[in-house]
Amino acid sequence: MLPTHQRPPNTPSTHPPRTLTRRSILALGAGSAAALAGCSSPFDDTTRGGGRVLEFTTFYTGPDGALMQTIVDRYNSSQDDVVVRFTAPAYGGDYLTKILTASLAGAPPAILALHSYEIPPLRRFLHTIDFNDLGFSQDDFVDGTWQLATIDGRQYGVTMSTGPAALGYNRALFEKAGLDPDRPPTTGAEFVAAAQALKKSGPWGFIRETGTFNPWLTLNWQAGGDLIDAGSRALFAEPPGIQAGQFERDLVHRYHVEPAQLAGPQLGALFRNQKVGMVFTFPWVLSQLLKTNAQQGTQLDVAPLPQFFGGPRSVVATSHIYCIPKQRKNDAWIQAEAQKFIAWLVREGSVDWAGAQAPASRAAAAAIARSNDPVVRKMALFIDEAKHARFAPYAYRWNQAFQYLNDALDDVVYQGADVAAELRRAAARATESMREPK
Amino acid sequence: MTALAHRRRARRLATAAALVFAILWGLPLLWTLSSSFEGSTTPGSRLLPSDPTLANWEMLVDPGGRAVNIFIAFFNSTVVAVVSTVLALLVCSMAGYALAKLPFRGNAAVLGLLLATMLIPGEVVLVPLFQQFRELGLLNTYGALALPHIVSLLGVVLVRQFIVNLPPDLIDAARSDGANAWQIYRYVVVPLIRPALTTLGILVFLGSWNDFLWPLISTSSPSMQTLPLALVTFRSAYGDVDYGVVMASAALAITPPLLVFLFAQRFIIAGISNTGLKG
Repeated sequence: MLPTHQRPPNTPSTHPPRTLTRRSILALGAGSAAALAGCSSPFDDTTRGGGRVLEFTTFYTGPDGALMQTIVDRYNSSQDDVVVRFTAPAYGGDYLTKILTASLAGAPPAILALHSYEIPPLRRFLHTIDFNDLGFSQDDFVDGTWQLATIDGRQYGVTMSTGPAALGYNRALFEKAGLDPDRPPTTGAEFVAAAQALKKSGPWGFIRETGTFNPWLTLNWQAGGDLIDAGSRALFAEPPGIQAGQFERDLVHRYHVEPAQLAGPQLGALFRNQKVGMVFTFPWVLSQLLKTNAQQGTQLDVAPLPQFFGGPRSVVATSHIYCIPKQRKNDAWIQAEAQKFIAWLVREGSVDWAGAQAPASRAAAAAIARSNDPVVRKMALFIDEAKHARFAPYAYRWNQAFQYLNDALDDVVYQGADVAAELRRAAARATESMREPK
Repeated sequence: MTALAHRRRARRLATAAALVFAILWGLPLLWTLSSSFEGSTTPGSRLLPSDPTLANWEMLVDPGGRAVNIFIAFFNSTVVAVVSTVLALLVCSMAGYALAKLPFRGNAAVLGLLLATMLIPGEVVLVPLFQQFRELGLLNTYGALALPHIVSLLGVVLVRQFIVNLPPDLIDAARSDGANAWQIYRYVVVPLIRPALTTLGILVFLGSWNDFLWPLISTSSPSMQTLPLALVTFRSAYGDVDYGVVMASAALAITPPLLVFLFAQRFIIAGISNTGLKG
């Protein structure tokens, strides 16, 4: 006999015990599952699109995402055929994991944003695009932009915008240092002179972003170099690469215009707090710079990057290309609607989009230059620089390879390590990691 | 020095060492909390804010379109974590009981299969899981977020081991009183396995609260984001502008699991050590 506290409650021994039947357990489970399955967030107002919801997934996790949302809202209110649902869930490796998982499962977003170097490994999941279907021609795009999504003569996306680098500089600090704020440096020698004058007056002359190869890459290209050759051999340690590395090293260890170690974590915050006179900047930072000027009375400005060496005019840039992945279900309808949306974005959304990135649409350039919005008007500088833009390449396991370059440059710039030795080692490791299995 | 004095001295030294480690571990958390109230945009490593403000926390509610309202993400994470935990306790305890005490053909094979399946990394099943939920029409719902956590293989094994170690006399006595399997489970077994259920509940809660990858893949609208996803968007939106907002979002995100762990850590340790390899 069970102890009292372990007997079923309210069950005198003379009465048969109440049982929960198998059927009622199964019904309870099924009901719970159904209830759970049907529940979406009470705050989500886009899941009831009547089945006509196009997912537009991007990596615009910064303020550019808020701007793109307003453009998408305008499209949604301009037509009743579909609801476009814009998201920017992540950036970098996490973003690609999401895209790749959904693509492998046959249910990717209807439209997704990719960088140019992300298209080659994902092209088997993407539809090819005929510009004629969208009412475009190649001449509708700024030189060098529409080709970013072309592989073996086939077009895998439409370039919406690029993000060329520019020189961010502080006009007030320039004046304080005795420099002309209307004449920012245009050559390597002028750049060093300006940095030295700034440092003499107080702040740092220049600060680079740690853990990246962006200043070096522009310098390398401007010295006539490249990143990798056609056989995926890393070219970091060629003479232009060493010249670029030496220039970066000298800024810290010879001219002392750049710190050997950052006291604070954020380059953007240092620039806005007027701790440094010059930085490399990009279009998506422009609105924040102008907002800082309005709120704090600073005089942050942008100018074309100097031409540091005697090679071709080159400026490192990112790219934003809109692609249409293949679907396992409803593919034809989704592809047709996605093309309509992309065409509308390029034609009707480019001017607004100039508030965050440099649009690739040639037709938008005039309207951008005339705009009343100071951010949009200033974006004309980046659009002009786009014709000199160069982009990181695609190579097998490039994500691993460029980490060796980043580490080498950190050692060179901050530890004063030997430029040639570090870049040779990085190049050897990168070449090995990019070797494709046979 | 007497043995007692030696022991006292050793205890004091151990306490002092533990205190040092506790301070070292706690400093980043304290700095996070302090920075969430920092109004100054000058980067620094102060433990006390130089310009205290609540503006960073206000920005969590209204991020100006640059990220999702953090409290929406908090709500989503809470719903998912609570539902996952409650249903996981039900499902895993029933499965554990069946494997431990209900004789059926293939019992050992099923247990072996569960143990072998635990070796498979979660990333391997991401694509088939996504496909499965897509076919069921469950993507971008709480169902997609919660269901993968409800069936916890570790939980089934944990509960099974706990039940195996229960005195068989209690169950035999209940059976001779005429109790069926459900009554034995409900009135005899469940009260006795509370420590294991507490451990399981904590592990499932923490696992579902901290999950980043599956919510990233299975959700497609900002208002369905869970806290880990929202933190990423806050980091991207504000990381280079105002790290006080980023710290506020981080402080909010880590508080529930930290509290759960602080109050329940002994259950976790006791529960895992009690599973052992017996039975």
